[in-house]
Amino acid sequence: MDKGSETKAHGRREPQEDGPATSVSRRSFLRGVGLAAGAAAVPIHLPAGAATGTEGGVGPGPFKYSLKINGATKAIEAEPRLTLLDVLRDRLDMTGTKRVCDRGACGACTVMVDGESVCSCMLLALDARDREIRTIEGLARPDGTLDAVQEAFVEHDALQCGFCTPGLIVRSRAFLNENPHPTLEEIKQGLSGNICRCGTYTHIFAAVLAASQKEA
Amino acid sequence: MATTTPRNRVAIENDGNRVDARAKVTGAAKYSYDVNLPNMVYGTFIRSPFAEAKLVSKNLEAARGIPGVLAVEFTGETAEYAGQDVGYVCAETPQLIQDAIAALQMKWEHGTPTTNFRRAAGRLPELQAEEQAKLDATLAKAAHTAEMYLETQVQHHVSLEVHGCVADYKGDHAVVYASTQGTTSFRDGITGDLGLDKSAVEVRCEFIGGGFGSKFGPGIEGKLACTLSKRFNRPCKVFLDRKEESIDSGMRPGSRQYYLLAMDEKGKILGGRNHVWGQVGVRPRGGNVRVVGYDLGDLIRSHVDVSTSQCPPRPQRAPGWPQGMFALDSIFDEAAKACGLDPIQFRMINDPNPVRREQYELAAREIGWDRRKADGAETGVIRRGLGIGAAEWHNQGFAPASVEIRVYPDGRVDVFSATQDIGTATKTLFVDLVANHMKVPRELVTAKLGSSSYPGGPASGGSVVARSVAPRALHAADLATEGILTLVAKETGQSAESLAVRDGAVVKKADGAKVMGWAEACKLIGSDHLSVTGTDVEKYRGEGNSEGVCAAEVEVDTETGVVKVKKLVVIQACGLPVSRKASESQIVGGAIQGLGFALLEEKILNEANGASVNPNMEWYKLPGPADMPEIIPILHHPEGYTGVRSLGEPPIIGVPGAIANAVANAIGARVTSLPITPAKVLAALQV
Repeated sequence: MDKGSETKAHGRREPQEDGPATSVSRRSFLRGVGLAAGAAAVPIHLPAGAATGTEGGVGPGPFKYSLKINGATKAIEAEPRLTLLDVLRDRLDMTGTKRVCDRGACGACTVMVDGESVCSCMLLALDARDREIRTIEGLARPDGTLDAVQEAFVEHDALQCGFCTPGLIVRSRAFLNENPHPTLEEIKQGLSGNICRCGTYTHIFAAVLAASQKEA
Repeated sequence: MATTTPRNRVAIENDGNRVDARAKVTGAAKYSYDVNLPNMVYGTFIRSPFAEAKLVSKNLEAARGIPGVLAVEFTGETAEYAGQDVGYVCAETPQLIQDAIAALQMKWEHGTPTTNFRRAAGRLPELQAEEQAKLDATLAKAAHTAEMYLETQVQHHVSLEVHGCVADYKGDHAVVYASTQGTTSFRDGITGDLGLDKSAVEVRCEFIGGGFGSKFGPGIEGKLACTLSKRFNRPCKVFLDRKEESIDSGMRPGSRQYYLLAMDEKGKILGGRNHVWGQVGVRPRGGNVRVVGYDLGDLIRSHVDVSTSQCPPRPQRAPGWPQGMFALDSIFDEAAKACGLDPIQFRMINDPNPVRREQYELAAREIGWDRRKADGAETGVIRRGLGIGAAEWHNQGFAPASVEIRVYPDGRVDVFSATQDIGTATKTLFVDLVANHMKVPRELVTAKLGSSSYPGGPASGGSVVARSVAPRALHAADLATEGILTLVAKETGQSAESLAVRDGAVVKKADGAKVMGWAEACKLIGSDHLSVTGTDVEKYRGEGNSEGVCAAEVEVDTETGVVKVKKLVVIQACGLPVSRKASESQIVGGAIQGLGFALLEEKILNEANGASVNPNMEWYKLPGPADMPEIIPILHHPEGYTGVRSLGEPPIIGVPGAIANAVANAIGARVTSLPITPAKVLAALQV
């Protein structure tokens, strides 16, 4: 990917100095993976403390960097192959973000990155450096006051088992930021990346409509 | 948009929200999949990619040699179905597990699996001479007949939280955080793996991300976590990945159903024949279907299960019912047409259930049945149709359960049961029942569920939980109130019988005069708490049943074959309805899952090697936001329905038949197999 276009697309700032290898590009990362995979009979894993970067790339061993999540800076030491979802759930114990399909088809792992909703299972955690990550845990105010979307989900019983709920709420929040006064049809389209198995959609639509009206 | 219907009045009148909603909308709710313990290891299975497969080579040393990989073991080298386990891996991280499986470089060969169900099912078996004579006699009396083969697909549960648990073996006891519909049934399945007595094992499940019938026992994944935790003396997490979830955590069996119905000149069913082939997994069981109590005369029924190369079925929301009612409601509409009757008229003749007969009329009003044209009368590109389907639930018996209530000196009330809330709002049901019955503010009551160490409660299956725990909770509530009133009586020198609790205060029964506030009364408990346990007492059971009717309106695009459901009216009785919002959600959920079964979902196997073609969530099509019709959930509360009854499963049952009938009405031709895909619609239209 061309770095310039990426910067433009995401409003992304230049990466800051952060750990021993300073300029990870997706190209160099992929090259690293290719090398490891090429030596198939040799285990892909390298033990902790092994090489952490060559030729301006990183991996496959653990790598130190930091992420800005819900306004706080979190120090990470992890293999570059970990997705943002892996890091949130398995390294930071931030388990409000759910793993369901693990390949971008269901929206359960949705978080906001620089204000845009993304599937955290489809984003390498490294690529989220220097970007503002907001998860379900960071949606309510510090005093515990719920976001209007969360409040409306409670009021309209827009959940059953609740496992799709964090992803749907984060997506609904991002969607209302994009389109503060949607029609029902726009809501259906706007939430189409999220799957709920229990079957709560019509209550979700009502909740999103109510939240948008409340914020009008 | 009507998403909640103000006309739904519930017996226990409140608009209270689901009690655990806040935990769920903030991400604070800890599901078992979310449990991470210090020093935890991870386990997973090595699985066959093919059916009828044999492992021919592997590189065990390469896998075992990876630093951080703790165990790589094979338990077998052959597999009957794709996804069957042949071994397991244990490692320090989830990534290392994948590295180990890749390093195995397994090579497989496979034979010819059984994937073509219709071919395996074969022809309709001959009847015994006696039965054939009975059928011939019925047909001889018939003025009209209808005959058809109908088929339903294999459906996945697609629980969003995958199967698994975190086992924490601690030598003399163990705590297991499981994603389960039955904390006690799960526990009973792992005591052997842990080498511990039941009393030393606690299974916890405070929140569960769906189960739909597939999560009763520990499964191989639960047993593996326990075995590994014991072996390494460390907590062990084993959760399936999405592909494993798809290919080896059960399924709703497919079916092929033959119907021949014979009617007299008035449309009354005389009898006929019904034969069901169940499309099951590698063990020939679990494939029969269920149908509502229509009067089918002298219907000769038979059933056989047909094995195919896939994992065995597990119960899935209303096991056997949606497939059975899709077929029966489909043949009913064909029979009605043969008799020159409207589908609802035909049901009024052949459905003796008085509650459902009321519901047909209600459904007809709500959907606007008078707009319904004759089958195929529409001629435009987009054609509209209306259809009807029926549901019911067998509310037979009450599962063993006891419910403990503790009242604390500060006035709080905790309700304990080992049963779990699988998203059906069981916690909310407990809170509403107990708060209402004890006449204390809802905010004071908390439901503590989902631990096998709590008083025994049923597994979340067969829709038995609500109807079984409600009488016990009411009994416990009365005992708790009595306990408090006895303390107040002693303190104030009156008889307990002369006192009552009303609106959060202890009052004199005679004139309603306040004796003391609830909190003040509870202080009399002292420093500990008051504990009572409700058991099975006849008078709290009440009466009632769970009949339902669904009416559907669809639009069919005759150029593309796409079916769009426009409106679903789902009427459901559940004895005494309790929590309005949660009850409506249960009905809406049934409607949406029924829509998925009718139009979208299907597990597809590769005929050559038995591998699933769609073991994920992009190629296995689930209903999504854009597929949603308007849904009107109606809680029907017939007179005399005084006890809490089943609501979990029945709302899905009538939906597929109603949608199929609406499609047939729209296009004047019937799609006889689910899901009703665009290709099948176009084939039915012969375009």
